[in-house]
Amino acid sequence: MPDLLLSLILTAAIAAADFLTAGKDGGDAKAEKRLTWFSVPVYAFVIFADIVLGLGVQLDLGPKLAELLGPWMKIG
Amino acid sequence: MEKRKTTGRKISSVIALQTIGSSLVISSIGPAMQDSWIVVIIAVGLSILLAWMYGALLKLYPDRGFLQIFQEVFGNTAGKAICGIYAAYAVFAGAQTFYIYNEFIKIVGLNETPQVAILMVSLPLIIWQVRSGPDNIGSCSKFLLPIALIFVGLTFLLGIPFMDADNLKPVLGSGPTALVHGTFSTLVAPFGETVLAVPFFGVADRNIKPLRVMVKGILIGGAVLLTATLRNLMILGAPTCRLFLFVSYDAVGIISIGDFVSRISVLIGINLVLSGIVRIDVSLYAASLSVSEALGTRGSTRPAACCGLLMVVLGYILYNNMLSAVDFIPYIPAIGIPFQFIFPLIALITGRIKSTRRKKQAGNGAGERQQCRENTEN
Repeated sequence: MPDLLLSLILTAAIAAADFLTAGKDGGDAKAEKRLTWFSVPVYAFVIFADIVLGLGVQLDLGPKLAELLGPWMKIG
Repeated sequence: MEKRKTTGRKISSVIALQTIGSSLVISSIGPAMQDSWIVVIIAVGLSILLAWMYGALLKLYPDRGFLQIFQEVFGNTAGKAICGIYAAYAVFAGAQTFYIYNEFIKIVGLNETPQVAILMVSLPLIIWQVRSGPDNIGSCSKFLLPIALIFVGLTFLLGIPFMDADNLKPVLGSGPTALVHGTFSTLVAPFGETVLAVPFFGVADRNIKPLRVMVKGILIGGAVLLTATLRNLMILGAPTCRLFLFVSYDAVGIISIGDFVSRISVLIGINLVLSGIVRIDVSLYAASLSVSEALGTRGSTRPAACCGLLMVVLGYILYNNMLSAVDFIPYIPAIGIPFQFIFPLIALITGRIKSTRRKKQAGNGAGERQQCRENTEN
C-alpha cells in the first residue's frame, strides 16, 4: 500500500472498530482477552509494514520465496 | 458463537463461487494448452475423491468441526499447532487473491485511483461479512451464484459467432505429460482449495450430507470453469490465451455484435469481482476460525479484522507488481498440497484406527461384563 497516510488511517480504523466491539456479543471474557493479546502484535506488524511500504521500500518477497521453494516445487 | 445453521445449498454456492473466483487468480489455460478443457473434466472427477476424503473425515466425527477434528485426532497441542499452520495457509491464499483482486480492479477499471481507496471500501465490508458468520457468506453466495451463471452462459452464447472449434485441435495433442501436469495443478488449485470451505460444515445443519453438498458445489464450479475454458480457447486459441493476464476478460472483450452488444467484458469483470469477494471471504473465515481454534476460543470470528489486514499487507510484501504475482502462481499448488491432501489423509487414517480400536474396546468391555454376569449367576 503505497499511500502511507491512508493505509495508516485504514489500519487504525479497523483496529479501533475491532477493539471497540470486542466482547459486545456476549462472548467468553477470557477468550476475548486471549484474542486481544493475539491481535495487538498483528496490528503492530501491519502498521510497521504500512510504514515500510508507504516509504517506498519494495520487499518483493514472492520471487525470493519461490527461489527458496526450489524449481522442483513449480507445479502449475 | 453462530446462532443460525447454514444450509447445504448455501455451502454448495460458496464452494461453486470459490472455484469460479479462481479464474481471477489462475488462468484456466495451463500447460495442457488446447486440451485444458479435458484437464478440467478430469480434475473435477478427481476432486470428487478429495471431497469424499473430507466428507469421510467429517462423518467420522459428526459433532465436531473440521478444525476441531485435528485436535481430536492428534491431541490438543499438535491439533492446535495444525490449526495455526492452517491459519497461515488461509492467510496466504487470501493474500494472493486479495492482491490480484486489487490489481485487477486497478488495471481494468480504476487506473488513477489509489489502491488503498479501493481497500477502504472492500476490506471493512469483507471483514463485516465474515464476522457476521458463515451463514451470511452462504446467503450472499446463494444470491450471487445465479448471477455468475447467467453472465457466463450469456458470454458463451454471444461469443459463438467469434468461436473457432479448430482451436481445440489436435485433441489430446499436448501429450500425456502436459495432461497429467495440467490435471494435477488444476486439481490442487482451484478444486483442492475446497478445503478452505470445509470449516463451514462445523456450523451446518446436522441433517446435510457433506459429500453431496461438496460434490454439488464442485460440479457447478467445474461446469462454469469448463464453459469458460472452452469459450476462451475457441475465441482466442491456446497460444494467445497464455499471453493474457485475465484471459476471460480479454476473450470476452472481443465480442461485439453491431453497436448494441459491445464492451461486454464488463460482465466478466463483475463476475470476477463478485466471486473474488466470496473467495476472499472463504479464506478469511477459514483463517479466523483456525486462529480462534489455535487460541482455544472456539468458533469466534473476531480475528477476521486482524487477519484481513494481514492478508492485504502480506500481498504487498510478497509482490511488487502483477507480473511478480503471476510468476508465483505455479508455486501455489505446491504450498497447498499438505493442507489439501496430507493433513486430512493422516487425520482420516488415524481417526479410523482410533475409532476401530474404540469399538473393539467397547466390544471387549461388553464381553467381559457379560462373562462376569454369567459367573455371578452360576
